[in-house]
Amino acid sequence: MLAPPANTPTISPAEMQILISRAGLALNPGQMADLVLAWRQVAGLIATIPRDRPLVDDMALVFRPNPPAEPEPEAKPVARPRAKRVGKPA
Amino acid sequence: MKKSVPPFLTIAEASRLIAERALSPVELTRALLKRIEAANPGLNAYVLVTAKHAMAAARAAEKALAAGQSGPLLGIPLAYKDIYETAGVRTTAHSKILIDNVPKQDAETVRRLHAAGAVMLGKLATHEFAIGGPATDLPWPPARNPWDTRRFTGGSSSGSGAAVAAGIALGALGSDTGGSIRLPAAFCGIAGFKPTPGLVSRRGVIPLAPSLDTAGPMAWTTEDCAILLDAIAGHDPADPASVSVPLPSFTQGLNAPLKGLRVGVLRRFYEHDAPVSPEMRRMMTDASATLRDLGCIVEEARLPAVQDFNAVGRVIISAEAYALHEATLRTRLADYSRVFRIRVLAGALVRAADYIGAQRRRTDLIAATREVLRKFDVLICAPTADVAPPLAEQRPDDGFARPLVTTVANVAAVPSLVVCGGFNAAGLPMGLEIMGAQWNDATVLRVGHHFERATTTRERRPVL
Repeated sequence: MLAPPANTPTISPAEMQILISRAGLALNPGQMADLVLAWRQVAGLIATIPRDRPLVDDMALVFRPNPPAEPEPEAKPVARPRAKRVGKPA
Repeated sequence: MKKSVPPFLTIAEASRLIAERALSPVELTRALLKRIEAANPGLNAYVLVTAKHAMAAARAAEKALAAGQSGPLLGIPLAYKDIYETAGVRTTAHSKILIDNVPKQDAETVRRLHAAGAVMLGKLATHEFAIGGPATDLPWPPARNPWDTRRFTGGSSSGSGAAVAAGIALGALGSDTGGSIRLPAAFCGIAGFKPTPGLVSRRGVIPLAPSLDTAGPMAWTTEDCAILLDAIAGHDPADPASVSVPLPSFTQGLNAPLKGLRVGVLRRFYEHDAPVSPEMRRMMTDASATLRDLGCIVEEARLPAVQDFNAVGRVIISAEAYALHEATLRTRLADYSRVFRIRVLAGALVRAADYIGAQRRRTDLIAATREVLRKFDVLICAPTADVAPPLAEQRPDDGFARPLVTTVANVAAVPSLVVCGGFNAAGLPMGLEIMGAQWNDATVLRVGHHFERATTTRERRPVL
C-alpha cells in the first residue's frame, strides 16, 4: 500500500479498538491489521478534501421534496334537495 | 430457418436475423447455452446458468414472433450481474451472505428487458457486493479475461465483461459506482455505458453506495448498448433517484454526423494524474486523430485532478457501503471476503462531518465539470493505465491505493462510455473513455458508435 500523506490524522491502535468496539465489531488481530492499513488510506483521502466552503453554500445538501400534487378538479357542488315548504310564513 | 448459428453475433445482427426469420430465438439460445457449457469453466463468467428458464423464454419469444410481434430485443439472450434481483432465481451478489437469497420480483431493469422479449441466460460473476477485487475466499472463483485467462477482467462487473467479450451473452447488465461497468469494458475490449444518474432505475439492484450507484448496459458494440438503453431507460417512481425526463431514442440518434462536435482531450489525466503506458498514450493520440477525421474539433480540456474526484468518491463509498452492511458485519464478519472487509470496514471510522465534507466537495466538482462541458460536447481520456494486468498481481490489500480515472464520471454525475480504443502489441484491448454532460447520454453514445465504425476494433474477437 502507498504511504498516507503527511497531513493524515493519526489514530493509535488502542483508539481504533475503542471506535471499532463502539461500532459493535469484534476483529481478530489479522482483521485489525488490515483495518489499520485501510484506514490510513481513507484518512489520507479525507485529509485532502478541502473544507473551506462558505457556510451559506449549503442550502440543502441533497434533500429534494416532491413537487406539490396537482390540485384535484373542483368537485361539483351536489344539489341539495330543496326543503319542502310546509306553508307560507306568516 | 437456418440451422447453424454464427459463432459471434451482436444484438443488432441477431435482432435483424430474427426479424427476417433467418434465425430462431430457440436455436440462438440453444447455441449460446452450448457455448457457455464449453467456455464458462475456463472463464467463471457465470455463477448460475438458467438453462430451463432461458429455453422457456426463447420458446415464448418464438411464439410471439409467429404471432406477428417484433422488437429489437425479442429473443435476444442476455445475462445479468448477480446483484440484479431476478424473481425466483437466486441472487447472491457473489457472497456467502446472500447465498440462499431468492428474490420475489425482478429488478425494474430486468422486468423491462423481459417485457421486451429478452431471454435470461443466467447470473454473472461480480466482486462481492460490487466492491473490491477478485477474491478466492468466496463461494465462486473470480471471472477470467477471455483475451488471456491469466489476466484480470476488471470489475466489479467482471462476469458481464467476460461473458460479452467471449460471446457467451449478447449483452449484459452491469452496475457502476466508481467504474465497475467501464473497467471491465476496458480490460475485456467491449462497450460499457454508465448513464446519467436517474436515467435508469436501480430498483432491485443490490446497492453499494446509493449516492453514486448507477445501472447500465454492457455489450460488444455501442449500438448494442443503445438498444439495451432504449429498453431500460425511463422514470421509475420506486427509485427515489429516478428522474422523469423526455427520452430520446438512443439508437435513432447514433448515425447523426459528428461534424463540428467539440471534443476535449483530458491529457493531464493520463500524462500526470494517472500516468499510462506508452501504448495507451499512442492509443489516445490515434483516437484523437480518428475523431478529428470524423469532423470533430479536438482540443485539450482540463478538469480538477483525478485525485480530487477519487478522494470524494472513495470516502462516500466507504461510509455508505459500511452503513448498508454494518448489521451483517457485526454478526457475520468472517463470511465476507478479506478484500471486501479491507474496502468497507474503514467506513466504520469515517465521521459524519467527513462524509458531509465529501458530499459538499462533490457539489464543487459537479459544478467544475459542468463548466468544462459547456465548452465541449464530450471529453475523452484513458480509463486505465494499461491493458488488463495478470490476475495473480491483484492484491486484496491494494485498497484505494491507485488513482481511478473512471470515478470522475461517478462523482461528477455525468454519462460515460468506454469503448475498445485499440489493441497493444500483445493483442490485448485498450479502453477509451468518452464522457458527456448530464442528460447528453445520446451524444456520448453517438461518438462511441462513430468511433467504432471508423476503426477495426470490432472485427477482432478473443480466441477461446
